[in-house]
Amino acid sequence: MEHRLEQLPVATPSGLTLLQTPKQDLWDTVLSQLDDVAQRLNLDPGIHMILRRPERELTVSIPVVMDDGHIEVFTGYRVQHSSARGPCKGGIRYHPEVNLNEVRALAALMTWKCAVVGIPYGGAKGGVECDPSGLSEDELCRLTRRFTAAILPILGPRRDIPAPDVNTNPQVMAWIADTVTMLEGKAVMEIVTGKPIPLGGSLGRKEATGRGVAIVTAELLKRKRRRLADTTVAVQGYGNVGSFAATFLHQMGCKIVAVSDVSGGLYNPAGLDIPGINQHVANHPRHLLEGYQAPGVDYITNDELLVSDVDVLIPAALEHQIRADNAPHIRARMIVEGANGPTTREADDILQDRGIVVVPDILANAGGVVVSYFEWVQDLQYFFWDEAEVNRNLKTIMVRAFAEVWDFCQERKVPLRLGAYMLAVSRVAEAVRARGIFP
Amino acid sequence: MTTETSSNVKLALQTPSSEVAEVAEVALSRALEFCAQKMALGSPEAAADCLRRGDSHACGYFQYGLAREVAGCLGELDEGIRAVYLYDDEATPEDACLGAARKVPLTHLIVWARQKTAALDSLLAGLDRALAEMLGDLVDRSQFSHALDCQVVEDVEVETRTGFGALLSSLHHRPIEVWKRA
Repeated sequence: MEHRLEQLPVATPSGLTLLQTPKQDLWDTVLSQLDDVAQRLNLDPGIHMILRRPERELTVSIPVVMDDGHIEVFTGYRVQHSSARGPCKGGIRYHPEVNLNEVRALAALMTWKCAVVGIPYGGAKGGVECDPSGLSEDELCRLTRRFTAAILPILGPRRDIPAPDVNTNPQVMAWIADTVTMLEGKAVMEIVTGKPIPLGGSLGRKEATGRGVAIVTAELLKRKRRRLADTTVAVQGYGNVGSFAATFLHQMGCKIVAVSDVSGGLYNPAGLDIPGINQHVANHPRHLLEGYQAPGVDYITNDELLVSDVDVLIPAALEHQIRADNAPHIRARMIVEGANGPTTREADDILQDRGIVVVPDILANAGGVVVSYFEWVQDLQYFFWDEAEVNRNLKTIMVRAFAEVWDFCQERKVPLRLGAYMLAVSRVAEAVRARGIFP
Repeated sequence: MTTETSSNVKLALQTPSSEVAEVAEVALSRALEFCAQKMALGSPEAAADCLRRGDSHACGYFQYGLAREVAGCLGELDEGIRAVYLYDDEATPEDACLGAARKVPLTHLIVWARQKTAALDSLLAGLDRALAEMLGDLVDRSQFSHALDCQVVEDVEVETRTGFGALLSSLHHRPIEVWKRA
C-alpha cells in the first residue's frame, strides 16, 4: 500500500481531494490528498513514504468499574502521525464509532494544520469508543483516568499534548492533567491544553477560532484592496465560531448584513446591530437568534443566507453547506471557511471556475489550535499572559500564516486550499529532511 | 413531498394529537428518570429541580435521555425510519465545549428515513409542540417555542452525503446514534 506511489489519484480541477468519502475511507482520502500534493511538490519518494505512515499507533483496553459494580472494557486509541516539527498535538474524542482509521486521518490533518500556521507541533489524535452521554460523570472520570494511564507512556509536554475534541471538554482535560500529575508525583499541567483557566488554561481560547476567522478575512480584504468599511459580510452559524467572527469583523468596521443559526436567519442590507444580537443571544435560554426583532431586519432561511448579495460569506455552521446545487448561485466573491469542511468537492470546483476566492478551513479556523499552543507555552514558562497579549500574538501568527499561504499560492498559481496543503506538507518534509533519518 | 403509500406511514399520519401528547409525556418522564439515575439524584423531581436551576450536567443527561425516548417512539410509529442521531450544532468539535452552557436543551436530531413524508413531518411537529409545552410547564413557559430540531434525511441523502445526510459519515461532526431499527 505504502509503495503504490505510481498510482497517484487524478487531481480535481481545484487541485485537491476534499474529505467527503464515507468514514471507512477517511484514511485513504487523507493519503490521496497527500499523494496529490506530494506529486505537485515533486516530493522525495522516501519522505513521501514516511509521511504516508503514522509514526506511532497505540490501541489500549480500558476496563472501567461502572456505577452498578459491573465491569466494562472500552477501547481507546492514540495515533501520532508526525513529530518531525515538534511534539505531537491533537484532540481526544469520545464516540461510539471512533476507530483507528478515523484517528489516523485526524492525526495527519493535525500535522498539516499545525504546519500551515507555523506552530512547532506535529500531529496526533486520540479516541475512545464509548457513548459519553450514557455515562455518569463518575464513570466518565474513571474512564478518562484509566485511558490516560494507558497512553501515558507516549504522552508528555515535549512528546504529545492532547486537547478537547468531539464529546470531551475542559473537565476531561482537567482529569487527564490530574491523573498524570498524580502518577508522576509532580505538577504536569502542561500535558494537555483546553484546561479550565484555574489549572493553567489560556485566556482568549473561547474567542480564538472566531477571532482567527476575522483576522484572516481582514487580511484577504487587504490583498483584494477592499476597505473593511465598504465590505458586506454574511455569517452562517452563530455558535462559538460564527458569533465571534461576526463580532470581531463588526468591530473592525465591516457591515454584517446577514447571520443565521439553526432557528433561522436575520438580514438587514443596512447592517445588523451585532452587539444587540449578541445581547439577545446571551439572554436567550438556548443562545439562539430566535425571537430577535429590530427595525429593518428581515427573516431569511439558512439557504437564503448562503446566496445573499454580500462580499464575504463565512460558513461557520456544519459541513457540506456549500454544494453543487447552491454554489452556482453564491454571490459572495470571497468565502472564508470558519467551519470544518463546509464546501463539497464539486462546489469547490464550481467556485474556482467562477473566480470566487476560498480561504480553506485548515487555515481560516486555525485560531483555536494557535491559542492552544499559547496555553502550552504559558504552562511551560509558568508565566501567564493577559488576554490582550494572547490576542496580539494570535494576530501576529494568523497574519503571518495567511501571508505565507497567499504568497505561496501567488507564486505557484494555485488556489488557496491546494496551496495551504502544499505549504504544510513541504514544511513537514523539510523538517524530516533537515533532521535526517535516525540512526 | 412524496406520496405516502405504506400502511405504517398512514398509521403515523393518523396518530391523534392526544396520542402524540401521551408519547411526549412518557418520553419526558423517562428522560427525567434517566437524568436522575445518571446524576444519582434519587428522583425525577430532583432532576427537574436541577433543570430549573440551569444545571448544565442535568441539561446534558436530560437531552440525551429525551433524544433516546423520542427516537424510540418515532421508530415505533413510523416503520420508514431507519435510525435517529443526536448531534452537536457547532462549527468545529474543539469549539463545541467552549460556549456558555445552555439552560434549556434544544435537542438536535437527524432522523434517517426511507423517504420524507408529510406524515413524518406532521408527527415531528406534533411531538415538538407537545414537548415544548410540557417542558415549558416543567421549567419556564416563557422559554419554549421548540423542544426539538429535527432534520429528516432520506437514503439518497445519506448515500450521496448531501445536506445533513453528510453528517452521518462525517470526520469532524460525529452525531451519536440514539436509536436504530433492528
